[in-house]
Amino acid sequence: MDIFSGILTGFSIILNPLNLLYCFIGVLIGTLIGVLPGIGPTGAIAILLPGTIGLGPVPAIIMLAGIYYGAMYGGSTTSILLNIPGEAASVVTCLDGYAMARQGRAGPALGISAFGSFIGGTLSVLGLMLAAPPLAKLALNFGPPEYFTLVCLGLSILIYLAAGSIPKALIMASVGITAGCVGLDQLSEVPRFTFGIMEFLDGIGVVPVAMGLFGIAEVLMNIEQEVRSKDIYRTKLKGLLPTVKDWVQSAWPIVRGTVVGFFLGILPGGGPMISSFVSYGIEKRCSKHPENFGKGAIEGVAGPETANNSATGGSFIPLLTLGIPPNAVMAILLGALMIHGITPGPLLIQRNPDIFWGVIASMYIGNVMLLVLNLPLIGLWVKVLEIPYKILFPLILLFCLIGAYSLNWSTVDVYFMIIAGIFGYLMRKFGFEGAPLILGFILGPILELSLRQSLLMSRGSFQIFIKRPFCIISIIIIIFLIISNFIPGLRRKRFKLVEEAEEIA
Amino acid sequence: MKRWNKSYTGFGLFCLSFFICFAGSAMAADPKYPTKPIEFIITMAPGGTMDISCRALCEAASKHLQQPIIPINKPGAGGALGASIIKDSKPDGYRIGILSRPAAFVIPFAEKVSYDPLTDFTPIIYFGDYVDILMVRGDSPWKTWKELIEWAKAHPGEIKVGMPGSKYMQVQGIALGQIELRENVKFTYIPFKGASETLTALLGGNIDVYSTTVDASTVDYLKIGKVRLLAFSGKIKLPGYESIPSTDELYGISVCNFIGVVGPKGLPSYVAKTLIDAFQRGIKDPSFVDVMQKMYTPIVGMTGEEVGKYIAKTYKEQKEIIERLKKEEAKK
Amino acid sequence: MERCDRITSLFWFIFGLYITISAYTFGIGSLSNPGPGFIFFLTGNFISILSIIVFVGAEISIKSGEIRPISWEGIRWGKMISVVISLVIYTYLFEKIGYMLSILFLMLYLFKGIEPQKWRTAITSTILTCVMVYVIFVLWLKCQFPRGLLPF
Repeated sequence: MDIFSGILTGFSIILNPLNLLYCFIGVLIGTLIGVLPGIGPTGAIAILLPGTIGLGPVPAIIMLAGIYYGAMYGGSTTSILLNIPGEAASVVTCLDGYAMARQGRAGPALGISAFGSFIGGTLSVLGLMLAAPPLAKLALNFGPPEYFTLVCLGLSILIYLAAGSIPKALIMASVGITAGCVGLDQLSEVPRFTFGIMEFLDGIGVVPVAMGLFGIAEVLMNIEQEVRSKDIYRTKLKGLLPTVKDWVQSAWPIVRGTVVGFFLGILPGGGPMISSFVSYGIEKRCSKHPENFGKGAIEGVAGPETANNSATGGSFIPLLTLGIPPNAVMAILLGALMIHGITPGPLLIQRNPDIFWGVIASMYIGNVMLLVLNLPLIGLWVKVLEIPYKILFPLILLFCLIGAYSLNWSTVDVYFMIIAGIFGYLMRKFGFEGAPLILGFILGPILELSLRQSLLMSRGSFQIFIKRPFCIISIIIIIFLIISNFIPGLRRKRFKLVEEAEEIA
Repeated sequence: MKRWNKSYTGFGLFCLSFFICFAGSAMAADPKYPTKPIEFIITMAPGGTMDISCRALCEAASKHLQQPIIPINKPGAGGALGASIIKDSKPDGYRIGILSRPAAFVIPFAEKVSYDPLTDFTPIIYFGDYVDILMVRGDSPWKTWKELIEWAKAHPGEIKVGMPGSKYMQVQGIALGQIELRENVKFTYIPFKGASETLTALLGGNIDVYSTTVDASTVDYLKIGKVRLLAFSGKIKLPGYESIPSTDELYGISVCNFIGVVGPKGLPSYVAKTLIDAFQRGIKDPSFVDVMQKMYTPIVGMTGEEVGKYIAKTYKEQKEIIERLKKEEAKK
Repeated sequence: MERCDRITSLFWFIFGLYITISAYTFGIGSLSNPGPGFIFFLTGNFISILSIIVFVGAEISIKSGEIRPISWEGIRWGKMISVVISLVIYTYLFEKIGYMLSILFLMLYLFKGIEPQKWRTAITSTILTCVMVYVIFVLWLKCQFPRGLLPF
């Protein structure tokens, strides 16, 4: 079936009122799940999956898919308003989004986030529609050496994440990698840093740590001294939607975010989380005023938010064309397809074109629904910031506590979060940053696994990294990034001192 | 007077004996079970083959109990985390779950676990088996298992076998280890996080042999010829592929098989009996049978004590095999 | 650079050392077969080396007078620690006495015990929060919170 007739089929399917209804339900639930920190699309889809057995496969998958990309829309809300990342993909949005909220610009932050998500989401579906099979083949060529160099590239971008001292950021990243590798070693059954505690065997969850490091630490910072709400959120709201200037500044970040997110979403293991970090790094690198990042630069919100939604579109490609789920959410969708008798795999497009085209068409419509849903809500969300902080902060803490518990219905995650919160507070006081740590945390396990796999494959030789085209290109980019950072190095150092002086004042 | 006494005494005795019998049977009657929903721990991540089969099983068995069975995922450490949770639960029948085959027969020999598969559980039902395969890419030069082994003999260490997990943590790894010894070849094992990552690596040319359980999408790849089945590493074969040998036929070596539902040890017998009954009827449920077929998981129906004996026997066998394997490998 | 950088870099140096030593106990393996301690060996050493750099940088800054002291003044340690302890107690009690009671006690403490607040506001806010939690999480989302002592 060629693309034209395919998309016509798809739209004829989605315009069926039943499918439209389930699409709407899916994106609505997704937004709610995204807004609530803690429980993410994985949990929600797992819970709702049995309920969909009565439906046909098409409405079921449309709904479950809607939950996934809907959650990416909602995830930025608490990041921007309260500095609580709802899931790992929203951590980066905390950096500038929250700063914007404190300056009274929560509305434009939420707005550009919604628009960026829409553009990223829609364009990625376009990509999915036009180029799924060839792109899938590209994904197959990604083996352990490519992953290793990609992760190294991602970590080198962290140099750009760091607003302050680079050695300190590197320490944080290394600590993150170390913490991320805690748990049972998959390869040799050796428990590492588990201290005999069962719950450590599977590692420390990234979401509780992120919530603690950012959300709880922020509350602790704010209640250090007597709370004066005015100091926390400047109540004079400067408009609810992005201004023309905001749009101009966000245009290129949105474009770049779409591309980055889409391609990283196709690759197994990465998806929305990594693409948001990479997008942030790229935007900071491309910006004329990198020193603004971390202080409310709208590019720091526009790029990553677009990227993480674009990644959702990309992540459907390996699932629908190869039957290989690139991340945990797609794995559940795979299961959902199988329960309904659909075998995801190379034959899916031919055998079940209604699923493929139906899902694609539903994603177009779903993104529109989400935009229409989220924009008016901005006015509501912004009102939250008007609550006096002495009433708000207990609610924030409770939110985090419930959210962390709801991940695995276990109090262990909550304890992790609290510890991460204390650590995050101390860290901030001593001038260390959280974002590099989270990046290290996420990438650490992938880094280790791909390095060990690569060395096993090459039997100890590092030549494997030079023999493959992607690896060579990545290594060159990494070297370039590192060197180019040090040339204008002196100027940056002066900027840093200036910022730091301003911060004390 | 005498007659009056006798008849009243008789009547009294009759009432007394009636009362005694009644009271006796009331005391002997079991408390009602279940009176609230039952938690079912699925020890693998949601969306996978085991997850889907278990959810279908819970659905099917719930129909024969007055209360629903609620599946909860607690993945981790190959099923060992979930097993620990079950072991530590109150033996009141309100939390049961899966004992996976790695958790029962492989991981306890690889590292310290907090449970003992032989004594810490009350077995309920062994309901399914896996089909394990050894696959290569469609364009690779080996058309049969024998050809692969010949090549491996000439090129030690060059064949890269991929599986989700490491060699001593997977049933397939143990089986392959034994084959290595028997045929005097050496494979290189590359561990991956999950079956999908392993499949990607195979298709992308990063590994040569794919060793794990079959699932629906691998069958699709078989159909279009992108991958080639060289052997089954267990005793069970895929329908339609009976001509492909199994390692059992070739060497007498096979993976151990088991997917079982257990409860913590010390489950009262009326609880165990009710559960066994419900699950036994559940596995006959047509919707369950349908799901299991789609997952390529053949159904088994062993219950209760028999399962306990099976676990003990297989545990002992595996222990010997793994100890021998480790000794031989250390020698080399 | 902050004055406290010297202390923190010392801390990180020791931390890095700890990680590196632990890496040996896990087994570093070889290049052709990296062991479980491989990555920790790398990160542990990296952290230790970086902490030396930070330390040196701090020394240089102190000598050249560019110190940024951390403001420790005016911090209400007592209240901060009590907040953290209340979170820990809440988490501990959550599965013992049930979600509703734990939330009730925690919210009451956080509303009333940290910032100056009228009893009326604190109690109303606590009750509203408890109701909201019940409606959103338990009724609507059907979350499985431990019931504990109460029937809901």
